[in-house]
Amino acid sequence: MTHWLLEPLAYSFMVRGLLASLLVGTVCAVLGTYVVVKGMAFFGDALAHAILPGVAVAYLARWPLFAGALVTGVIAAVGIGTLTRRGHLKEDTATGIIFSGAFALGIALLSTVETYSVDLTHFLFGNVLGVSTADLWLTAGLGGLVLLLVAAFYKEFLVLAFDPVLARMLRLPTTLLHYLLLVMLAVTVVVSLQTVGVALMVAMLVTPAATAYILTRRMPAMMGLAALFGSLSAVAGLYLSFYVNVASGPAAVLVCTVLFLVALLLSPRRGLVWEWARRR
Amino acid sequence: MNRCEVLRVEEVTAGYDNTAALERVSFSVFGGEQVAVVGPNGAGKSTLFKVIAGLLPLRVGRVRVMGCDPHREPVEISYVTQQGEVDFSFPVTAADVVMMGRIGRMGWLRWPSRQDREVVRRALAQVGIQDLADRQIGELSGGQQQRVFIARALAQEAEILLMDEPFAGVDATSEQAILDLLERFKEGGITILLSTHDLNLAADRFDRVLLLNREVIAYGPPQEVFCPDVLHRAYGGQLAVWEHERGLVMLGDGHCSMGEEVAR
Repeated sequence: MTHWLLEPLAYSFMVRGLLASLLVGTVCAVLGTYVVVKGMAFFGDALAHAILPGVAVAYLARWPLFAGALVTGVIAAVGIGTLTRRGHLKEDTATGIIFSGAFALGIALLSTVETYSVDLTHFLFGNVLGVSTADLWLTAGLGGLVLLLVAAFYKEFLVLAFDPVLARMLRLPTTLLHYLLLVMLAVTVVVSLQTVGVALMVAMLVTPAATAYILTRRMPAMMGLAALFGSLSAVAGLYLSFYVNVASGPAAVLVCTVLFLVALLLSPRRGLVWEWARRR
Repeated sequence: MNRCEVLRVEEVTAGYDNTAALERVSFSVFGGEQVAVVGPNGAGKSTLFKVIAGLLPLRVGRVRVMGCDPHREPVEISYVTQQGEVDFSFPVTAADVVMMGRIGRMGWLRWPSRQDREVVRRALAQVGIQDLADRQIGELSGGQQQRVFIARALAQEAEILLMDEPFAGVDATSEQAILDLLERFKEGGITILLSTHDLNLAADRFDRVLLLNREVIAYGPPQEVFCPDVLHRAYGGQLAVWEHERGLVMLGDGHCSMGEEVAR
């Protein structure tokens, strides 16, 4: 067993991949708890897709991909956030229009290059084995910053998510906190780009957090468990890609999904199996 | 009981979009008083509370809470909103919800201290649900949930407490617990504004009654406000009033859905 676990780590790209998986799995899942409790899954999905044009421009102009993704991510987060707050359209309609438009622009830009299909696949589904040392440092720095902010403003984000009226009564800067959370989400999406890719990002945000939600009744426990499930799934995906030769991003998402289904069926409090048994 | 004025509402007009839910409303409340806010559906009771809490801007007029403008400065008010305005499947326990009331006192970048935890424990005990502290909020009954939100208001340690329909959809035990609490607030000198549809309760338990129907119809001690023609001006046909040898018997709103004009 240990041999089986350690053997891949003889390759340095696997070590970097492992560290990136742990980091991304944790950061996505922790921030994902807010995505789940605030019902922002569609927003998270949209945000992930909307950064593609920035990545494409950076790629074509040979700028650092991180920078391109980060700038677009923040613009998209604030843009969608503002539009859904003040627009005349329903929230999901506005989000749908922006994200598919941006996504199309990204694909159109990438389609101008000859290596179109290979590049697009990397952006869509990630390539954890291609994580460089510099990528890893950026992931650790930005991911660490997001986790630090989650901890520092824990009680403010909690009250804003649970009871916005109380947040206003307490005279918290609710708009500022809302946008801060959106920007943190954008940063999370960007640092996860290399590992899971655009298309399946929402699964890493939502699925581990939803699994933890089924199993817990408090936010800190939900965050802890989500981080555990998220990093476990990401690492499992990495090993699956090494041994079974499936793409690591989809493999991680599949592991997440299986964990979720198991929790859904067997959770001591809300498990479907127990509910079914009680009803008999 | 301090007899100084803690709340003054002057000529307030406010509302949503182009409609005025409140028009030229004026009244004032003294420290430690318990005021019942009554009136038919759509009378502007919730709007009034939002205006006092500083959550809804005024079109005309001004509000002063202990001399401060609630729309500019933080004020000593806690506000228990109507039931069902939060997501009860949220992963928080009763104690977590009450602790949220302490955030204002804690300040930025601080975690709950032992004193905060003690305040939370005491607030839960005061509303009689200390045993339910670790239950997830959605696992509690409607009345227990209401008591959690009142405990949170207590934990805020504010001087003025606004309660919007706290008895709506609440079981008898919780209703009694809330009433007992109101008794104890009298000793504590906390000022209460409470909206309710239960006119008999308003008549029995409160120092003053504010009868509202977009404007102030009457404001004063219950015996002055609850006379048939004043009530008729507020409720029209929505309320049945009988004169009984022990006083008035009133059936309001939901109970009298046929809207017969029984009031004389």
